[in-house]
Amino acid sequence: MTKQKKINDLDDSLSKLSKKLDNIRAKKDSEDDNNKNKKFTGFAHAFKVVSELFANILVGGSIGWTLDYFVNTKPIFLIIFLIIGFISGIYTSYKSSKKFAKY
Amino acid sequence: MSEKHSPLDQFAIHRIYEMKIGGIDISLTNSSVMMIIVLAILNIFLIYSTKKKSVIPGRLQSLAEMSYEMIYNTTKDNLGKDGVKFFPLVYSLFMFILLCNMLGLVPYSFTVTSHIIVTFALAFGIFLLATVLGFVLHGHKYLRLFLPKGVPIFLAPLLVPIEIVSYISRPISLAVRLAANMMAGHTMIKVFAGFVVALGIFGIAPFLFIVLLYILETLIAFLQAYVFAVLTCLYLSDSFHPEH
Repeated sequence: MTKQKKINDLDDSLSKLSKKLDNIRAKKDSEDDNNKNKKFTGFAHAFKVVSELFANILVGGSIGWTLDYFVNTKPIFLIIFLIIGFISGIYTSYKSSKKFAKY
Repeated sequence: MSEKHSPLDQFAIHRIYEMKIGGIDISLTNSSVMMIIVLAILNIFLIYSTKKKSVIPGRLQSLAEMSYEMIYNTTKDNLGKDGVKFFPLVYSLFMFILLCNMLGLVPYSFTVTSHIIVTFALAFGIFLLATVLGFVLHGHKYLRLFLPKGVPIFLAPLLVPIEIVSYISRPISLAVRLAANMMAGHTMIKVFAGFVVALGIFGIAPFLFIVLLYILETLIAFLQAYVFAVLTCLYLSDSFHPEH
């Protein structure tokens, strides 16, 4: 009888301990993940925003130029799409910065 | 002779072995030789380092495991459980670009990723994959990407072109970032190397600067490969969940 009780007690404390350990492990994992993310993403994000800004303007300009070339309305579409490209560059970098701010 | 010492001379492509099939030039160039070397080193490294499979990893094995784990976690964080099937793609991309960047830093070698056509081919492949995957998974609902829910309809004529431009610019921004970073770094190193010779005894100053630049370039070589992998994950995750 006493032996059984002892075993039960041991089991109880064992499960308590493993719960505690799990908690600590989960906490540490999430901290590690956060640190890992922060180390790289700051630098990486800077590269990302700059190239997005540039590429959007480039794509907008080339779409406008191509439309002009086929429709024969020399500078109109180029101007419109350059502006759209610029807006979308700012918009994209704003959106990705908003995502980044969550970390 | 001065052309030989131009800082941009290192990016020139030479034919090493001329080949032609059906009028198409498929000569073996220094670029393709470098790619073959990169793939060979990559395969040898990964096969050799994982051959032992010891519980306590040695140096090589832990290097392989670290890179594997890092990209695996990035893929899982960005794509979720379903997206892990794209892990092999992301990992091969990461390792290929990383090794191209790193081996490009070895003097007298050639930086494959400094050519925009190489990086654009990689980026455009991802772009095509993400687009096809989006349409396969969501059908016409994938076009929701261009007009998010909750946006008033009178804003559509303004927002849709903006979103389309930003969607098309993805592969270009991927390609330009990698190629421009590699090219700028290597050109800068070569320019400062020219100063070392020109300044004579005072050349020690630019020489020290080159040492620091090399450290920075090594960091950038790693970082660009990592950014490429992360953005591949991000673009693929957009085709999994286009709503936001």
